[in-house]
Amino acid sequence: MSSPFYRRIIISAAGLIAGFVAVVTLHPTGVTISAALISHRSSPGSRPPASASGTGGKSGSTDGPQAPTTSAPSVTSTTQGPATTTSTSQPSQGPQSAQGALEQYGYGELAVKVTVSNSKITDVSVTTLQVAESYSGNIAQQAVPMLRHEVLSQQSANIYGISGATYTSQAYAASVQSALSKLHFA
Amino acid sequence: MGTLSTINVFYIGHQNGVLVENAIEQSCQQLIDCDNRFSAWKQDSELSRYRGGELSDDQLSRDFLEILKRCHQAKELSQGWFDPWSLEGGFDPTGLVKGWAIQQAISKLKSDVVFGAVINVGGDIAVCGRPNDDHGWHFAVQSPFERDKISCILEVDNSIATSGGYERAGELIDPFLKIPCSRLASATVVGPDLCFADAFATSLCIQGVQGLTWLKDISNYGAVLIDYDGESYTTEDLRLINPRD
Repeated sequence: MSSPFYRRIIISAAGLIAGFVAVVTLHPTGVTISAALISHRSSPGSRPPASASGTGGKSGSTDGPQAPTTSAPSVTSTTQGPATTTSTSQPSQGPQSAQGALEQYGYGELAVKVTVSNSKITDVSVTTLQVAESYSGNIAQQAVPMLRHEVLSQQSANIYGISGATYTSQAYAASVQSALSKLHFA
Repeated sequence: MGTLSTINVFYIGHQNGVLVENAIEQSCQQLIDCDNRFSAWKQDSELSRYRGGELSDDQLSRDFLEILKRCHQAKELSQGWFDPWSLEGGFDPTGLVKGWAIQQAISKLKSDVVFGAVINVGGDIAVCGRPNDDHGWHFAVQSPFERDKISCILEVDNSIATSGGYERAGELIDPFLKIPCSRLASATVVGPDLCFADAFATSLCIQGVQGLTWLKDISNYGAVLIDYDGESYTTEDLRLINPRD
């Protein structure tokens, strides 16, 4: 049997579901963290970009999805916005952290810091959070820790998601991805 | 106001990526179509036109009639606690449409090469297949008290939905008293169809623990309720997972 693959797409939404920014990641099953990837936020009611689902699966790195035996997670993405940054540094086994790019998330700005050790994400924290008004603050206080939990739990407990409230910042996802890219983790 | 939606697809064979991407795209389109049709915020949606009296019953789309039918079913099954006709502004099936849309979208992902898929829209989740050979789908239920904690982990075959007073204050309306009300900190429902799981979770959150009396009689649906004291109540058939498994 050929190797199973895992593909994730993230769509952002306004209202029920409207307009999305989508990015696909692709990596072998069993590798856990799939950092959420978002290029930019959508505006309410907007139509999705035609090529929104991207064309994941093309990885220039040697530990890309074509090598399912690798122990290092590989995340491949196609982004349509400014969210991700690339890095030429080599992967490292020691604890390392990087700060993600500052992202606009509709209600304010945020940036996250991702710590990676031995190819595992060990911490995700919010380094910058600016919100426009109090309501947004509540959303951020609710969504950010939950997402943090989701990012961490997905690589440890075979949990495929969290049922509950998700006021979410795609910005958080984008920032995580940007930090991972800097660590050459993605 | 944004809700994060994710679609995860597990499939066999790298060469099938394009196939899977096309399916994902169709799935997304399904979600978007549903939103365009049933959005209460978009003035030109079928729902808005219906509410505004612009459409009579014989002018409604097949999907709209399906939603009306399911709303009637959900109202009956929940003994009136799910009641999209009780809200101000007219018929509002939002508490059921989202689940229905996701359930429709997940069906677009089924194929020979896909062995598992999950769609999560703002915490309402539908799955098909299995993620791997070892175990089924495990989903955590968010703690209503501490944002970065989970209350429990459940094994799910089809769908799971959670409603909570912490979610969107004022959005849960008691259909009998017509006032904003959530008697539980959170209500989670697991079952074969997310459309009903979604509606039941909302109903239970409004009604409180007493709602288990009707829920337990609906076959294949189970619930975890958490009250404001942190006490939890579950139906017998739920599969709770030890986090270390």
